Formats: sequence, structure tokens, C-alpha cells
Amino acid sequence: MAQLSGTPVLILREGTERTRGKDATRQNITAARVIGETIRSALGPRGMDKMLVDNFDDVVITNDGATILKEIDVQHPVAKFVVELSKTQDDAVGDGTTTVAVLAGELLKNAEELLDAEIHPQVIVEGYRKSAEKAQEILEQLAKDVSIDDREMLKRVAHTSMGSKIVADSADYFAEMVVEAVLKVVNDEDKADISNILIIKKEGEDLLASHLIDGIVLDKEVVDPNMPKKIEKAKIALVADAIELTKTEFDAELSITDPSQLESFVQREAEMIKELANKITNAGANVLICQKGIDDLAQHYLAKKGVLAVRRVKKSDMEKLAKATDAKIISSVKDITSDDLGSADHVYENKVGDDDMIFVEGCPETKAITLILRGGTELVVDEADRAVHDALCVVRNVVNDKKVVAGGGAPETAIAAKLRDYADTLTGREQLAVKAFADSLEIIPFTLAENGGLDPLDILMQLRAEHKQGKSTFGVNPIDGRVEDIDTLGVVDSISVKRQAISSAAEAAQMILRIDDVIASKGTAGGPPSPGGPGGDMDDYD
Amino acid sequence: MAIQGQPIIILKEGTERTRGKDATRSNIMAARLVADAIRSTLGPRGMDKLLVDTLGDVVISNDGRTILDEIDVQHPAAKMVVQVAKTQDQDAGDGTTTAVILAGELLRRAEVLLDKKIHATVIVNGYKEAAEKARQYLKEMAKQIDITDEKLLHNIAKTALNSKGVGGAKELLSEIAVKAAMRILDGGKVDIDLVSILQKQGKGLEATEFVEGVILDKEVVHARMPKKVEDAKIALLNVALEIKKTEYDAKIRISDATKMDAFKEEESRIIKGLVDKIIATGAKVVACQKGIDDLAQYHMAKEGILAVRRVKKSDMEKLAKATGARIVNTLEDLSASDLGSAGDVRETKIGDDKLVYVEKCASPKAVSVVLRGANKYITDEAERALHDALCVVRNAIEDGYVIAGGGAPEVMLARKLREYSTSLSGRKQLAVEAFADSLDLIPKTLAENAGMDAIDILAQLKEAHSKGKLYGLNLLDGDITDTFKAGVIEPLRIKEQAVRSASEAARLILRIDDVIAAKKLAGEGPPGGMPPGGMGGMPPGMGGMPGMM
Repeated sequence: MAQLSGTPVLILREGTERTRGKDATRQNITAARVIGETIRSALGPRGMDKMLVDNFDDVVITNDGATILKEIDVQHPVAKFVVELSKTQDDAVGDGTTTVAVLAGELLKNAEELLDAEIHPQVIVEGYRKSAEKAQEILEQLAKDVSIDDREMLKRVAHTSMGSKIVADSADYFAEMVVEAVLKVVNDEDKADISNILIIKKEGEDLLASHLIDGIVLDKEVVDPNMPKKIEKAKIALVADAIELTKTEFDAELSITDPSQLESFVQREAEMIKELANKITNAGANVLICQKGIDDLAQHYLAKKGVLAVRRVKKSDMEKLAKATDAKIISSVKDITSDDLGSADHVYENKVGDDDMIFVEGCPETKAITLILRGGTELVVDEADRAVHDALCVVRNVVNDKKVVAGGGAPETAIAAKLRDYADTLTGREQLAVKAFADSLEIIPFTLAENGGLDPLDILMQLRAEHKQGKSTFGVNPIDGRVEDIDTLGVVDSISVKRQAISSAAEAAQMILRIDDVIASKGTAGGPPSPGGPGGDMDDYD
Repeated sequence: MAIQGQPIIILKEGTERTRGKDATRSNIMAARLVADAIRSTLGPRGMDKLLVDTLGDVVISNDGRTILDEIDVQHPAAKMVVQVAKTQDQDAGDGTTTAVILAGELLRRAEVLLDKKIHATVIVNGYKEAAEKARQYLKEMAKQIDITDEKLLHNIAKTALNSKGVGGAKELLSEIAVKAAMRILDGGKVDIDLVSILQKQGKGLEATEFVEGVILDKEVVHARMPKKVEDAKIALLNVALEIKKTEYDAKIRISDATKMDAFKEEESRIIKGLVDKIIATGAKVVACQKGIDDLAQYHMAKEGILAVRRVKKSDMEKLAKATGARIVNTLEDLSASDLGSAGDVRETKIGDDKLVYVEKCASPKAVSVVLRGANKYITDEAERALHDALCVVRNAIEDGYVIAGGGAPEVMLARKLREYSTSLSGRKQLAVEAFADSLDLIPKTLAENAGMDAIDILAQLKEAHSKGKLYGLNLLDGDITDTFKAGVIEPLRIKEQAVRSASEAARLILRIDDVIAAKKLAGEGPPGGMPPGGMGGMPPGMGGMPGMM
């Protein structure tokens, strides 16, 4: 608009930053790539961990992509976009959070080369879209069916997922536990719901002291020392209400006019509490698990009747207990009947480390299981928790889809090879975009090799050669430093992790490529760098 | 001031004033800048914008209205152009970018005429006449459709979705838009508010789900309640299932120890009474707009009632329509006849969130869409895209007239208007011609955004039209063709509205010759001396005086 001389007309609020056209695209691509680069070194069994310190000096040490990205304080809008991607991957399939960010970064990097070759971003977007669709098809062809009775296979899946994490040394032990746990919560439709698996973290001892409890463990103690610490053939009452004097919704006050009444009010209160306790014992309960508080006096009466009581239990735990013991959660103690009670073979208090915990074992419904994680320090236990969570998710995925693909970058290489063939069937410039997509997928074996201290190019060439001969299960083995048949090595991955990673990364890359204008209002600390000038200096179009 | 002597200041100090040609020019410039800002988003090969607001929230969009809403436009004339986008969005639901860039171009062409000393009012009149003629020509070109022709509606939806960043899900979303619109079609009207759109991150856009019924983004309140109820009788309550307190501050005074628990008992009984009233009607599902007391939840759970609380008002209304229930404000009035019914009510988990689906409703006039996508930006943009698609399908169904897309109507209009202008005498002719020229910008921009040579394309299009072929740009294949046959079709209402609102905005801006802006409040203290009341004393006849400071 410069030729329309005179004072520049500002239509945007002063201080608004604007970047347009190629500059904008390039900056966005760089931002996304930086994120990919940042966590690249965490990929694979030879990947390294990151130590993150936040504003409050809290420390997290992790190898988990989603956790790293969540902890680092990303400012650039497009970088945030990639972080979100990793989060979605975590929510949806639980693993592959590093893969998705690395892949998105690489897709954009290769797109940038095409942009330099004057290819319109929309052409690249279209090419990527087609590639992603095709890639899903190819992935399905590569997948192998698995039966959920094939424990060996499930263990290998868990093992692969944990191979890159701190628990790698004891991966066999953990894999066994994870598979056991997931198989326990498989329902009649052969679907696993891992929200039925409770994880309790306690620092102390070492990772190998972690174990599974066939039942539910509550990180609480018995409320009164006079209560029994162990009940066999427990009848369990689950109460969502406080075992104490509840007040009316209306403000109430006592008006005592006669000193002789003083005593009677106190007595009446005690009686009321006693009645509550009696209701519970009369129903036949010998274990009381309460979501809210239990009055001291009530504790006393309950203890006298030999009831084991626990208070302030989380609502989610209450629901799990209800499912496991067949109890019904009661909101009004007055209504309690023996029908509402659940049962368990043993309920006992036991020490884990320094803390007392309540174990509820031998439940009629076996679909409840607890994993107690131990480890040298809090940091180790936290990281083990993340590793186990990922492993639980992938095993669940496999149980639910009953399909696996090889790990070690084999499917990526195979898809890349097939996409290149597919590219040749296309006419026009999209061909180049499809090829770029294929190249991008190879970043996975490439990075695996690189993180393993190998020569990534050599490995990649070797891989391509093997795949050319139709050996579609060949991938990188960074541990032994060679290319081999990943299938015989036993490195397998859940297909949904790969499926989600490819589709999310492709979706994100397309979205970022479509942007040609970044307008940032003032006040966004560290928004997009180097403004393209205020609204006034746009090119004219005639 | 030309009147000699001391300058007479009649406005509050600090007031900025621009007059005459300067004012017109600066207004035109501002409007053009807005138009220019969103020009690159037009068409299937248009690009997106990434907008960051002062709080750091990010929006990525291709939708003209959304972009203009998000950018903080300051200039008053620019704001008027933003208004054009809003009107277009409200009336037609799509074509916001078209309307805005057309307004910008009309102003640019007007400026050229102003430079030739053609008076603004002549241009305004010319534009007005041209816009009226344009509507007539558009009507002539439009085709009436059979609204049961789903394939055609599908194409219309796809045309709207083409430019949005929904890539591979285009087919699916257009199918959803048509299915939804057909389902809620009622007496020739389509109320797209009946379509509720939910976003859930995870999976990809292809996993987007169409549900015939209402989805509540809430969970069942109590663990003991059933998660699935079939052939459900549904009660809709706009009343809290809690102890209601008096408006007055009330206090209970207990003077007898034996009565201590009686009050609490009474309260429990009241709550039980509320639930009993619901139970008595035979309701198996309760959707409550307000809270539900723990105890009430418990009593309902015991009766096997599925209850959801704090349901949004808009969802309550949708439920009412879908299930035939009446929203009840006091439980006293609740009777069996107020209940609605649905064949299937169940809680479902998507990702980590629980949702309640109400399906197989008595009346199928409520539909829901659950959008999936890799992250929030993607689902946000998909929601906007779906909204636009719904709007265009609605327009087509309601009006029954459609027109080819891809710039074909604009080329046709430009041609006919040029012809028409020769029949006019006087300077108005030039204005109508300028209007015609402005319309060329649409096919030109479409071509430009796709990386094609705009001049070549325009020449080819004009040639085709002169031979009576109403061709437009088919950008997916990158050539010129009969866009109607190629399935690039838009509702007539969008084009009509775009031409009308663009020309109205242009006319409005052209008529302004004086901009008086009060000083920003953020400035320093109150100005001294000058009495307030600025404009009242303006002498007339100052219109033509340039250069007033």
C-alpha cells in the first residue's frame, strides 16, 4: 500500500505484531521443529532422559515426551500446538508421545524444502493428506493379529514400551506385572478398562519390590488403634456420608434456658452418634469405609464392636470398591441394610515402607487390581509410574484392537517404501509432497539409530535395502547396533499408537502449513519473534 | 479556519478531526487494509491465519468472520468493514471473506473515481443501482433445486468446506451437515441451533461422530445409578433438588434435647419428598439444570434413576424438543404428562471424559455431532467449518435457489453490469463500471491464492462467458470449467448477501467526509478551558473546506 502515500493508516491496536507470508510460515515451521528436536534425543531404548526444574525448583526427571513437553514452558503459539499434540497422543493411546512430536517436526522440515522449491503450501497439504490416508492403509496391512491369550506377545508389547524408560533394567519383571494387571480387567466383551487398575506410589526399597495386589489398596490407615487390624470374611459398608452429627441446612442454635438441661444436650448428641454406629454394626458390617469424616466417639463405638474403619477415602476409590466388593454406596447411614454390604475375603492394614495402608483382597468381582510401585526416590517412583502407565495403555490397546506391528522403526520404513511407490502413481507436484512424507517417516529409524550411537545414514540405507527385498519387519536394534528382523527380536508395538501418531502428526503439519499470517496482540510475552511491521505495510496487489 | 481572526475552537481539546478528502481517503485505506488482511484466505487454496490474543490464546482459522473478530481492529472505518463480515455471517453463514474483500475493492475503485473529481454521491448512486441490478442478474442465473436431492446438497456443503482446514474429513463433514439439516427440516425451515456440536480431542477428524439425539457433556451424578436406561421416561427440571431456604434469614432454635435430630430428620424427609414426587411420575431419567443434593442423588440411585445435574439451559431446551418433555420449574407441578421419552439413554466414555447420550428420542428433531481431532485448534476450526456447512445447506433448503461457485457468478455479473452501464448516461456510468470491475477481484483472488496467473485466468473466463458459457474456476483441478456441473455450488443467498452488504458498506464509507474522534480516555487529565458540547455549535457549510487543523 506504500504507493498510496500519506500517513500510514493503522487499523490494528498499537503494538500488535504481525508476520505474513513466507516469513510467517517459516517461523512457524522453525518453532515446531525446535520442539521436535528438543525431545528427539529421548526416543528409543537408547534415548536419554531430561531433567526439568520448574519455577518452584521442583525437579522432574523423565524420558516421557508428553511429560517433558508439559513441564517446559512453551510460549510460541505453534510450538504450543505441537505440545498439545503430544498431550492428545497421551490421552488417546498413552504412548508414542515423543514419536508424534518428532514426526510432526520432520514433516514440517521436509515441507520447508518443498516451499523453497516454490511449491504452493496447499499442494503440500493435499499431498500430506493423501499420504496420511495411504499410510494408515499400509499400516493395517503390516499389522499382525494377536489373540489376547497370547501372553508372550502382550509381554513383549509391554517390554517394548518400557524399553526406553527407567524401568528398562527390570522390564521383564514389570512387563509380567502389567500384562497380569491388564488381563485381570478384561471384561466380557474382551475389552480392557485400565481405569480399574489402581496405582499406589511409595518411595522406599527398589523398583523390583513393586508388586501387584489382587484387590484394592487404600493409602489410608485404620482410624482408631483399638480397632482390629485384620478382618477375615469381611462385610464391607461403603458410606458416602460423614459418620458424625450432621447439621441442618438452616442455621440452628440450641437455646438452653435451664442449667439442668446442659447435660441432657451433650448426652443426646452422644446418643445420636451411638445410634449411627449401631446402625452400621446392626446391619452386620465389620468393615466401614467412609468417604468423609468419622467422629471420635463413633470411632470408639465402632472399635468396641470390632469394626475396622477407614475414613476420607477418595470418591474414585469408593467407586472402585463398590465395583469390586459388590457393595452399594450409602449416602444415608440410617437406611443401611445388610443388602448394601459388600464382601471380601481379607481386609487388613499393612505397612508399605513407613506408611500403613489398607488392603482389600479376595473380592467377589476380580476386576480390581492394585499395583504398588516402589523405588529408591520419589523421582524414580514418579518416572516408574509414567512408564507403567504407558505400558498399561499399550497393552490395553493391543487387547482392544488385537493387532500389533513391529517396533524398531520397521513399520515406518515399510510405509515409507510403499509411499514412494504410491507417489509414482500420482501426477503433478503432489508427488513431491508424498515423497517428502515418506522421507519424514524415516526420521524414526534414523533417530533410533542416532540415539543408539550408530551411523544413522548407514543404518537407514541398510534398512531400505532390506525392505526392498520385501523384509518388511526389519528395523533398527539400537542395543546391539544393527539392522535385523525386529519380529524375531520381540519388539512389538500397539497399532493404535502408530495409527494415532501418524494421523495426529499429519493433521498438525497440514494445519501449520496452511497458516500464512500471524497476528499477535501485545501482551503475549515472547510471542512470535520479529514483527513484520504494523498493519500498514502490506504489499499492494495490483 | 478560513473565517479570519482567531481560530474558533468548538471541540474539546485533544479531539482529532479529519475532513474532506483526507477523511475519505483515510477511511478507504482502512477498509481496504482489512479486506487485504483476509484476502489470502479466500477459496479452496486459501491459507489460514494464526491469531494470538492478549492472553496468549491461539486461534487458527480460515474463516473471515473469526479472523476479523479476533484481530483487534481500531480504526472506525475498518470496524465498519468488520461489521460487514458479521452481518454476512448472521444472515448467510458463509461468504464472509467474499463480502469483505468485495467491499474493499469497491472502495479502491471508488477512490480512482474520486481522483477524477467525480463526486462521492454520484459514485454512491451508481453503486446502489449496480447492486440492485446485480441482485436481479444473480436471480436470473440461479437455479431452483429439488431439496430432496441429497447429492446436490452434499456438493453445496463440500463447496463451503473446501476452503477450511478439515482436509480429509471433508466428505464426512459434508455428509453430516446434510444429514443433520434434513433431519431437523421442519416446515421448510432449518433451525441449525438444534444441532449441538461438541468437541472432544483425540483420534482424528475422521472419527467425528453423528448422533441422532442429544449429548450432554456431563456425567451421571452418582456411582450407584444405572449407566444405561432403555425406553426412558425423562423429567426435565429447572429446580434444584436441594433444601430450599427462605428468603429471610432463618434460624432454628432448639430448646429440647430430644428434638435435636428431629430437624435434620425433617430436612431429610423434605429431600426424600422431592425425590418421591419424581419417582411417582415414573421418570427413569432426570436432567436437572441446577444442583442435586447428595441425599437426593442417593434416593434416586436406589430407585434406579439416572440423573444428570447442572445441564446447560440450551441443552435443556434441546432435550425438551427432542423428547417432548416439558421443563418444569417447580416439583409441585410435575406430573407424568410432563415427561418426555427416549429409547436409549446411556453414559459413554470418550477419551477420559464421560458423556450422556440421549438417543432414539420421541421427536428426531435434535441431532448432535461429536468432533474429534488431534488438538483444540483443529476441533475449533472444524466446528467453524461445520457451522458454515450447515448454514449453506440450510440456505439452499430454505431458499431453494443455488448458483454456481468458483467465481462464475462474479464474472457473469461483471459482464452484464458493463453492458448495463453503457445504457446509462452521465457519470453514473463510470460508477457502475467500477462496480463491475470490482467483481473481477473474486475470480482473480481465487486464482492468485492457488498460485495461478490471475490475468490469464480472468481473460479465459471472460472469453468463455462471452460465448455464453458460465464458467468458473475449479481449483481442485486447477482449470476453468462449468463449475455447476463440477459440483461447486453455493446457495444464492450467500452471493446476494455478499453483494448487498459489500455495496452498502462501501456506500456508507464513501458518504463520510468528516471524522471527529474524541480524545482517548487513557490520555492525561481533563482538558481545561473549553466548554464541552462540541458539535452543537458547528456552523453549516463547512463541508468543502480542506485542511482544517
